[in-house]
Amino acid sequence: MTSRKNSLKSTNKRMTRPKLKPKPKPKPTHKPTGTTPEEVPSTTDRISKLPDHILHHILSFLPLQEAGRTSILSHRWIHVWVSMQGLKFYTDEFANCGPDKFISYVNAALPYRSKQDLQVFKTFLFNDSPTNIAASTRWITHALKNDVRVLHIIIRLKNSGENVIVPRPMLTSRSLEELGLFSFPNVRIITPNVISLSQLKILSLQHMDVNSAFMEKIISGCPRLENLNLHCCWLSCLGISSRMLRNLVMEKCEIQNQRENEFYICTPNLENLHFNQKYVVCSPRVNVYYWLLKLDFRSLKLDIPNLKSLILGGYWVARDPAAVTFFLQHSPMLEKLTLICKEVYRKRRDVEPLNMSSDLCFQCKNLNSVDIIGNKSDKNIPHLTEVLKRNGIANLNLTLDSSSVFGDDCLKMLYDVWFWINYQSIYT
Amino acid sequence: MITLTSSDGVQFDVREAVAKESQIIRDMIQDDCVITNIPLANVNHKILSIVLEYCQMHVDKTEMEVNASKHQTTTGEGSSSVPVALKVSSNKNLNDWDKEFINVDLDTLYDLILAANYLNISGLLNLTTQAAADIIKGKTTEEIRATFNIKNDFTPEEEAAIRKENPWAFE
Repeated sequence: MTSRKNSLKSTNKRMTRPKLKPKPKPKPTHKPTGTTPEEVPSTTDRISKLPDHILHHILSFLPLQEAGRTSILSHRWIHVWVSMQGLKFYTDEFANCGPDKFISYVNAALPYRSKQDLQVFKTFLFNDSPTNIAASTRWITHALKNDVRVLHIIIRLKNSGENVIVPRPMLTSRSLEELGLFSFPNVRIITPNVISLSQLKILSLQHMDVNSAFMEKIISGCPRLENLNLHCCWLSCLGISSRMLRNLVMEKCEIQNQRENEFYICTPNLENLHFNQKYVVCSPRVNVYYWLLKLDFRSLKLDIPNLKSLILGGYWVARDPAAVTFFLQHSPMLEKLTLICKEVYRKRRDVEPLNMSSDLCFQCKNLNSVDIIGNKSDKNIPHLTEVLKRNGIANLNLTLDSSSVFGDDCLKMLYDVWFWINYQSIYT
Repeated sequence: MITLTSSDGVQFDVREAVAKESQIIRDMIQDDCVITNIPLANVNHKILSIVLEYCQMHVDKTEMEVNASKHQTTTGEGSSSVPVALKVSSNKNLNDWDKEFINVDLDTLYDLILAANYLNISGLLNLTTQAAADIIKGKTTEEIRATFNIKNDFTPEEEAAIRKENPWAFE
């Protein structure tokens, strides 16, 4: 504490005036050592003197084309542009141009990046013509050769249901720490025989067919994998089993495997689980609804003893409190619970008098924060809150409205990507 | 209460929650929980007072929301009547406030960017750098140079060469 005081340059100039709470008036006689805005005439170029990383931050808010155009301002700015570490090639400016123009953009901008400067690369992978496939594959390979750390690929297909062959280096990179593969419904990834991503920590998949073989390769080939985000995936595997996994998101996934409803989540070190299952109307596969409608949560095999935060979503959350308590019974260390019941179950069953069977009891002695986000027209929510209260949960936060709010970083990212995928005009 | 001292020696008494909007102050408090006076060598009093105004507003808004939702739960004891949260779209209000707040001259904006960077207040850093980007957006190269007093140190030949190498950016 004293040492900190001494480190203050102007300690000797400390004013003796009484402590101020509102805005203090500047002391006219005082000459500060540092620069103050008043001393700097507004005709100097202060923006160019900002540190590189701040200017990169500023440029990241600009459309790529405008950011690139700043390179012509001065020598300082060409350095800033060339050293920018993140390149996102899927912003709105590309939404209105066809693949040809997009490809020429990236071809022109990419060779400028030197090895340490390309850390984040986000782009489309075109799968419509051999030339486009070749071009996309070339960028991705280029990025991987430069030891890119974060790679997000949006796979663009001509027809849904196509098979996609991902460039082999993508699944055997030694530098990748985060990989995102985002696509349209029903894409089957033709994976290389080997997945070996020794540094990978975060894997996000959207609209992918994940079968048992693929899931096994992911788990065994990514020994450091901590975050797995599955969004709108079609899961035909039997479950997820990993000792490393800390965060798991399963958002709007469709599960159907040979064992009917069985699915295991065997992750003893999992700390955060986001499990949101709801109707997926866009799917052409009708039998999907079977699992969702029946949602027999008891056929889920859960091994999540160290879970700290749980987010559960779907119409069934409010409809059947036993589904919620089923999860709670498996996670005794839980600290935070969020229930999202935004989807109103229209055919609500008549609210029966509450019968506290053993199904509805749980013990989570660390659970001190419960948030329920629901729709105010859902008559099932009082039933759910009653069950939680009877289990001794005193601190309940209810947010009921008719809109849908979501504040989760990962999901925000996924929705962001989802938006661009839906932006079909690139193929006009 | 925590006392923050600006580079020019002015002291500000603020609530711990307000000071903790800054990551470096948060770390200091965590390392040394009895700390009460923190000198900030890189921020003068004029900028610090603006920064603290931002932190105060954001802390107040969050606390208001928490209190509102707590109130909701306690009043809605009878489980048959579902309390309807009065959670007004406070985020929207806060965004409006931010927009108004960041309407400052360029010099103040630079100082705020540097202060937000030094104090590590990510919300404020995003707000200020976004504001700087908004000023650049839609302007021609000449307009940007004029706005920020950036001196063109390229020869006409060099400039032509850059344009030629990056046709995608200048079309």
